[in-house]
Order: sequence, then structure tokens, then C-alpha cells
Amino acid sequence: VRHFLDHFFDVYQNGVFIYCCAIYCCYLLLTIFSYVSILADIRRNHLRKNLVLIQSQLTPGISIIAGAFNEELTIISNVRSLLTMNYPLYEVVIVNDGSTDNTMNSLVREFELTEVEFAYFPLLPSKPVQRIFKSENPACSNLLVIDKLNGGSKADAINAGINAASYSYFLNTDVDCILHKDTLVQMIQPFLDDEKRVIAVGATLRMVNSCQVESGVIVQMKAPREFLPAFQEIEYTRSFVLGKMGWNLINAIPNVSGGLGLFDKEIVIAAGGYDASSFGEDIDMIMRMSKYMCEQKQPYAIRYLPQTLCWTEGPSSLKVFKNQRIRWGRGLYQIISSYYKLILNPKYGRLGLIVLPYNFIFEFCAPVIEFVGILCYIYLITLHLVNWPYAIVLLLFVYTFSVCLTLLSIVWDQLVTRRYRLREVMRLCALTFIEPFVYHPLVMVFALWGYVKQFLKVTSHWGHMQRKGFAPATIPVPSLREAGPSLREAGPSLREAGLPAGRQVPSPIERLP
Amino acid sequence: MILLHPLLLYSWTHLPLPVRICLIISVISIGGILFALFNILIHRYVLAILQRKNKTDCDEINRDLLAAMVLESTGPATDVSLFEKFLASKRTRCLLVGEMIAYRNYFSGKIATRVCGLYLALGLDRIARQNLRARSWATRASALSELFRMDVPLDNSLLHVFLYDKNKYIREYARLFLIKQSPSDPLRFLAEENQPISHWEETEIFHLFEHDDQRKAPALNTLLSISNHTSLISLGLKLAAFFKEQEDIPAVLALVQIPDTRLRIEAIRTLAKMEAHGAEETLVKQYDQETPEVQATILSTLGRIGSAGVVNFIERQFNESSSFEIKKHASDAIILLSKYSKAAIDRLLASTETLNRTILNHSLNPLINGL
Repeated sequence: VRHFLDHFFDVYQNGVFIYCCAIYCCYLLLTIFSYVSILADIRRNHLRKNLVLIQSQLTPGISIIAGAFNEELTIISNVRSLLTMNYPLYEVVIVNDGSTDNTMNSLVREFELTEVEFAYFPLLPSKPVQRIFKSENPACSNLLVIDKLNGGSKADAINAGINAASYSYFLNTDVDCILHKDTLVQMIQPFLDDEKRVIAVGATLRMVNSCQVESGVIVQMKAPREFLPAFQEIEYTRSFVLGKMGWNLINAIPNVSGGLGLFDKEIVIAAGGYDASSFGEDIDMIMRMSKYMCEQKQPYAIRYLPQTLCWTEGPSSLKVFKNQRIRWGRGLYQIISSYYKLILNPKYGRLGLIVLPYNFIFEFCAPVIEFVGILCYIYLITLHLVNWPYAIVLLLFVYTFSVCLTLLSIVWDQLVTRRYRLREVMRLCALTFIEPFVYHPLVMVFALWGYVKQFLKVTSHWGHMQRKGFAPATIPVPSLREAGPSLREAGPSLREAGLPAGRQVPSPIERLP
Repeated sequence: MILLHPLLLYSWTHLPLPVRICLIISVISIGGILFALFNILIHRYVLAILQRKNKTDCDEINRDLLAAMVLESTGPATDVSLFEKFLASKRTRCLLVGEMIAYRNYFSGKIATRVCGLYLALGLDRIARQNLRARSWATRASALSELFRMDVPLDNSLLHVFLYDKNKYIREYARLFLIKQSPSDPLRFLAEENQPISHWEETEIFHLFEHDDQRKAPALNTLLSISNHTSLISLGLKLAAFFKEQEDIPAVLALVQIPDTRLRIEAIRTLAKMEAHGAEETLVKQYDQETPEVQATILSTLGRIGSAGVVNFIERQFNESSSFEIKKHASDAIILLSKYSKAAIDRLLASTETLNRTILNHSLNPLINGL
């Protein structure tokens, strides 16, 4: 047995070293790709003027679909925020997913909703829709509220929303997410600009936990102060700015976040809509859309934007965080077990040759290899078989490389957005140094927990995140004059002169340093 | 360090290859960490200084521009010397150009002309023209964009060179320039080149026509030819719908037979927007050979064109079709034709079929359809 174990450890060590080098090569490539991709985006933004889209009759309509389950604390302000997007043609579809609190009543009261006889056709499967409401207030004429039985998952609610949506594109978001005013005008651009048919577009998400929010609008951006959300902020920066933007360059994006994604409705419907039984409905949707496009032999693209356009509340308690990560782990397990036949299948192009193999080898297997590695380490330590100088060199390699990549992702992020104060950015940088010891093991353990649960087919519900609500604003919303110089100051004079003061007043988020 | 100490006893060549690789990468990574931290610090510091300077200069530029361009828009010619101080450095020059472009975008008429005049008087176009010869595509595209937005004419021969540039942004701006500079038949060269255009470019071209009251309706026959690239035909259809010129109707009607389903749908929709009376017969004839998606579009179009002769046809489709989408479009069409279809609406509302009634009530509800 001892001989076998020694042999196993030899093979394992070499294997892990090669695996580690391979994964780091991928990360390095992604870092370079993401830099190129971000620069291209900055140049594109310099040449493209949002105003052309805002003023045009040709701008395509968008349906914003947001599911709500027991969100009475924040629903009113967030729906109000959704109703004030800077876009010429859109509707807001709120799907009340069988809330047991006052969510529906609040909506009815606040937005003067009235039940309408709506020709609803369940093109995509979802739990039965009970009632559909429209607002009698002309200011909210683009608001549609669907009241349906609880489907136990976000996918079910979004499917119902898609069935009622009027426009060819839909934005999938959560009602507790806070969107930037220019989200739609920014996210529609890749659909109009790309040579291939764009089927989905995503953008960077951030933590709203410590931000000051007033009436569904962020008036002061702050990096999360609590440890868990702060680590998630770092993780999100790395994942979106470095990972997704890197994949964006080679058109191999594996996932568009469930918090913010703009989709081509026709393809979503053709691919069968969201899978209510999936724990990772967002990645599953992208896989199915990509698979559908490959099978139809239609060239397609999935794009990502480096700009932060959405803020979401990250779990701040370990219990909620654990549930979220277990769910993500289960979702990844489901994806791999559902699409393993596509791996290395050239018929599926980048999906079969890059996206799925990468996700299987470096996303799915990583926690397993890491966990076995830790067990091996413990075993070798107990037998005094560890060559400490070498072991420390290897650990140093892993540690410094990880920290370096994370810090580079923060640097890349600074190229696009500089919303946090320097002190806050430096705090995030400092947390990067302890992240591998504190946060990363938790992510690994919860992912494994999810795999085990999924493997054993333990039944569990999708889960609902307990919202804390947002910190109220303590500073006044900056006035137009404070917002900055240039034409904004000309507002009153222009009106007096009877001239069009057409320049869009930037949203409060935009005004902040 | 104590644990690492024995390592120091070995010479580099005695170390196993993986350890050597790890050491090299660790050193590079530490360099990367230091670079990242210093980069953030220096970048933020430099940016803070720049922002402070820019704010002061922007305020001044804006104040001067506002006074010279807007508040004294009816006065004598602008005093150019007031703005010459901003030409001293590249930074202030860029700020000035940025603000001028913003003024140009948000104003029309006299103010816009004055802004363009000031731009030329300050010789800012010369710098942009020089940048057209830059090696970097970003500089060239930026210069083209600046000249385009400031209404500075460019030589057609130069634009034809840019028309074949490797970079798509440069090609796009060259096309926009050529359209802008050709008041008579501005779209002919597009049909001659027959190169695909993106939706964004389509929007930009459309914007040119949409926001220029002086511009006459262009001749669309060349663009609405089946031999053209689909993106050009699509642009032609959108412009035809915008200008609603009756002489374009036959060309649009010819596209109703095009094999590309998306384009066929677009052509049918264009007929609706053009209120092409006389197209009904062709659409009704074609109805049975079409896919459900096109059939639904035909029904909507018949409703929007709005003649009494098609009410029975639409009512029949509403009653006989089993497709939800077709029923919905037929119902919308009937409501649009309410001037002629009152009896039909009453008949259908009295129908016992729940789905039909629901669809009809959906179409009738002003809260849903905004009628």
C-alpha cells in the first residue's frame, strides 16, 4: 500500500504541477486578451455616440424582465428606477413569482395597476399566470406586471416574462438589481455593431452592499466594507473584467450573468427558454443558445462590456453565501453532465472545443484537484515526507501568481471605471493578499458541497436571498450645476433661448468621481 | 526564510526544473504585483491632477463658448482671439474640440453654423486633417469622426481611399462622409460598392436623413434592387418608410417576393408604413404561400394600410387560423380597421370561443396597445 501511495503521490504531484501550469497559462492569455478587448471597447466608445441611438427611430425595442419574490422592501424604488432608463423604446415586465408578502399589493397601489384581459400565450413553460396588470398612470404606460404561481426558480419567472414581452430583445435582470441609466443604450450596441448575429450581451456587475441608494438610484458608490462582499467584489472584478472580457476577444464567453444580460428573444425561444430545473439557469441558457446556433450552422457571437452597468446585493452572511455557492456548484455539475457529449466535438465550434473543455477541466475539476491536493499535503506532512523548501517555492509560485492576476484585473478595471476612491481601491488590493487563504477555501468547499449534493441528487429548492435593503443616502443628489461644467450649465439659458437642450443629463452614478 | 535557507545552499543548476520554473514565475509575479500597485497609485494621482486641470479649463471653455455662440448668437462674428489661448497645449485643444462637438451635436441652425465657423477659423480642421495621415487607425478614425461631426468637407478622392481601409470604423466614416457630401443621389455609390453595412451604420445613415430638414428624399431605386446586399436593401426599405415617396412603392412591392424571409417581412412592413394603397391585392394573393411569421406581418400590414376591402379576409383568418400569433395580428388589424369593421368586431366579441374573445379584448384595450 505504501508503495502504491508513493507512486500515486509522484504521479499526482507531477500531474498537478502540469495542471497548474496549464491553468495559469490560460489565465495569462485571458489577462492579455482582456486588455486588448478593453482597449477596443474604449476606442469603440470614443467613436460611437449614444445620442444617435437615443434619437433614432430605428433603435430596437427592449423588454426589461425582472422576477420578484417577496421583495416588498425594495420593489417600489427599484421599479421606479427601471422606469427611468435612458432609452427611447422599452417596457418593464415585472413577474411577481407568487410572493407571500405585500409585493403585489405595493405594486398595485403605487403604480395604479389595473387587471387587464391579456392575450397571454405560454410559448415557454412556466407555472400558470393568474393575473396581468397594466398601469392606468400614463407615466408608467410601459409597465406590465404578471402575477403568477411560484415556480420555485428564477427561470420559471423569466419564461413567463418572455411570453408576455413585446420586443425582440429582452434584458434579464433581478428586481433587486440596480441598473445604470444607460444600461440599455450601451448593451444594445454590440447587437447593432457586430458582423455576426449577436445572441446575448452581458456587462460587469458590482456589489451594492455599501453604496448609498436613494429611490432605486445609487447616489454614492462605495466598495463593500464587510469582508464577504468585499471578497466577492474582488472575485467579480476578476471574473468579469479579466475572464469575460478575455473570452470576449475570441468569442468564447461561457456565461452571461443572470443579474444582467440582454438576449435575442427569437433565439432564446428557439432554444426552448430557461430551464426551471437548472441551478445555473444563466449558463444553461447560454449553452443551449450556443448549441442551437451551432446546430443551425449560423455564425453567432456573445459579447461582454467592461463597463459596470448593474449593482447587486452580494450575500453578507456565510449562510446565504454558502447556499448561493452550493447552488452554483450544482449548476456547474448539471451543465457538465448535460453537455459532456459536446466536449471536443468540432461540430460545436468554440463551444465544443474551448468553452466546454475549459469549463470542465479548469472550472469543474479545479475544486476536486485542489481538495485532493490538500489531503495529500496533510498525509505527506504527517509522514514527514514534505520537502519544505521546494513546497514553499511551489506555494509561493501559486500565491504570487494568483495575487498578481487579481491585481492586474483591478488595474484593467481602473482603465474603464474609477468609481471608488483611491483608499477603497487600495483596501481591495490589500484584501487580494489574504483572499487565497480566507475566501478561496470557502469557495472551493461550497463548490464541492454542491457537486456532492447534485451527485447524490439531494433535493433542495432554488433558495431566496434575504435582502438587507440599501443604505439610505446621506448626501444630497448633486444638482445639475455640481454635476460638472460644460453644456450642463447652459440648461436654463438654452431653454430661455428656445433652443433644444438635448444633452442627456448624466445619471447620478455618472456624476460621481 | 529559514525554511528556504537550504535552497540557497544548492546551486541554481541543481534545482529541479519545476522548482526553477516556479522561482522564475514567482519573481515575475512579484514584479507584476509591484507594477499593479504602483500603476494604480500613479494612474490615480496623474488622473486626479488632470481632472482638476480639465475641470478649470472646461469651465472656462464652456463659459466662453456659451457667451460667444449662444448668448451672442445674433451678434457680430465671433472673436477668434478669445479662444486662441486654448490652442497652446494639446490637452486644452482637445477639450475645446470636445466641447465644440458637443455644441454641434445639440444645436442646429445659426448656433451650429457659428460653432463650425469658429472651428475652421481656429484652424482646428488642419490638425484633424494631418491626423488623417496618422499610422494608427484610432487616430485616423477619431480625426474623421471629428471632421464629420464639425461638418468639414473632405476631398472625395481621399474618402474613396478610406472606403477600402482595413478598419471598419474608417470605412464607415468614409461612407457617411460621402453620403453627407452628395446632396443629389447620395446613395448611388453604396449600391455600386455593394458592401455590407452594420445596423449601427444603418442607424447613422438614417440619422443623417432624419435630422436634416434641408435634405430631399434620395432616389432609392438603386438601393432597392434584389441584386444588392441584404443590409443595403434593408437600409433602402427603412428610408422608403421614412420618406413615404409614392414612386418607391413598386420597388418595395417587388421585394415582397424576395426569398430572404427577414427581408420579405421588412418589405411588407415598409408597405404598411408607406400606407401603400393598392398593395393589398398582392399581399392577399401571396398570403397562402407564406410562413406563419410572414402571414402575421401581412395581416398587420393590411390593418395599417387601412382599406375596407380586406376586412372579411382578416376576419376569416382570425376565425380559421389555429396559430395564436396569427390570431393576435389579425385581431390587431381588425381593430385598426375599426372604421370599416364595427360589425365584424361585434360579431367576434359575441363569439363563444374564449381565446378569440381574450385576443380581441387584448387588442381593444388602450392600456395594452396604447390606442
